Amino acid sequence: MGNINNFAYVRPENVAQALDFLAENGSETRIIAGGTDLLVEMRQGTENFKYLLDIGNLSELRFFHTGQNGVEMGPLMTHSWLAESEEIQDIAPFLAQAAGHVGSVQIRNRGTVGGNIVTASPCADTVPPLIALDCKIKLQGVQESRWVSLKEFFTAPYETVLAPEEMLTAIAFPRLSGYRFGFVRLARRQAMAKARMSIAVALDLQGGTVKDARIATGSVLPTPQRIESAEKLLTNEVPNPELLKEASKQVAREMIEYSGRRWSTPYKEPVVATLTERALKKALGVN
Amino acid sequence: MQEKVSFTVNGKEYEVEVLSNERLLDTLRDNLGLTGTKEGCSIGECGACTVLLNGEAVNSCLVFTVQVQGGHILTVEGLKKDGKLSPLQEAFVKYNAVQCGYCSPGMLMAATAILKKNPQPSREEIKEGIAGVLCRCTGYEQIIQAIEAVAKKGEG
Repeated sequence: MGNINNFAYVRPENVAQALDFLAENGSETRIIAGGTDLLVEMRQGTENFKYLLDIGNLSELRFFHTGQNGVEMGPLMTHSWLAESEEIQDIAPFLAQAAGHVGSVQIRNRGTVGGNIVTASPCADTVPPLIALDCKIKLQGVQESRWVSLKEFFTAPYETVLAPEEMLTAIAFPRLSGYRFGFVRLARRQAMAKARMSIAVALDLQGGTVKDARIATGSVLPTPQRIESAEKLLTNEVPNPELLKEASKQVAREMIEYSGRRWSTPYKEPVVATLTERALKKALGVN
Repeated sequence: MQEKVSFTVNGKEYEVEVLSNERLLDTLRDNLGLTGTKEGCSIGECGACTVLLNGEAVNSCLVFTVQVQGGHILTVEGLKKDGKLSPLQEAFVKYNAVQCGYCSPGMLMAATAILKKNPQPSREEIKEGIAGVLCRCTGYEQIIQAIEAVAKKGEG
């Protein structure tokens, strides 16, 4: 109401109907699930579309399977569910933790992981852990579907490779057995505030040596990314305080290389490095 | 565009005809006259409009009424039983958890959701559960005390 533009409301009975609708009207349609981002955007008057396609009640999109190889879940799983699920806490504790940081209880009860991905905000809390997990997402159209690596999904802030006639229908990631995880976010205050920067880390430590290192960032580069140059510094090395510092600084260097030196760089450079170091230490369980 | 939507509020069935862009908050206040639920920021940050939807706390400013077809809504008006305030409401009065009162309906609904989920929440869990409702008067301490008191008595 108020300054929210009007639209025609469409409630499909199933995914097939939703896809049919998108095939016809995709470019004039916005999809709503939880609506926690969309209603805010609409109130700001930046959203104008003809149709609102409500997928919030499609049970086909609310599922969670876990097996030896990994996890596959529907995009409608809420942040509250991710934060509280014992399975997520076991398989990917940093994802549970990140989901628990989203907004407030009220937001987490409505907001979905699929929405967090598709909205493509650079500061989406669940995205860095998902990228560190090598998450793939299924984009489905009427005729065909494709699996896309999450790190290749984002093209710019709030922009993705999702076509107007496609819909996100599944999210999958492998089980990283034996890995250690860390997630750190910086925000103005703990509750409610959006993350200014976040770092997700997954480390495979075998006999004291890092066999695989994954560092994913949120709000550091224009889109969430893996920082491979920093990961390489850690791989096949025995972690020590200097090495962690060096790898952390490398993340900050990547940021500067990409965005250049800005007025905010004297602040952000040490902060990015410090956050990375904290995330690595968390993963390693050291202080 | 008009849409017919049916749902229950505080146990009572309603069928309303609303514009598709009408928010649950507006339907509750303007259409059903349930003005206990307050409008604050309208962007999901202040929590004044918190209600329970199918048992979970949500911001009614971030839900379109058309989305709640078949849903069950509990507002602050539904907390009273047989003309008596609920234990949480009583405790809010007793502990002076109310100053200007604007956040109280949202705060009570957030508190109701906390105790519904866990009748014995820790102080941290209480703080986490009310973090989505802003109070600029009390400093939260009295609110936390009120919720703790109800939990302690096992009345949640």
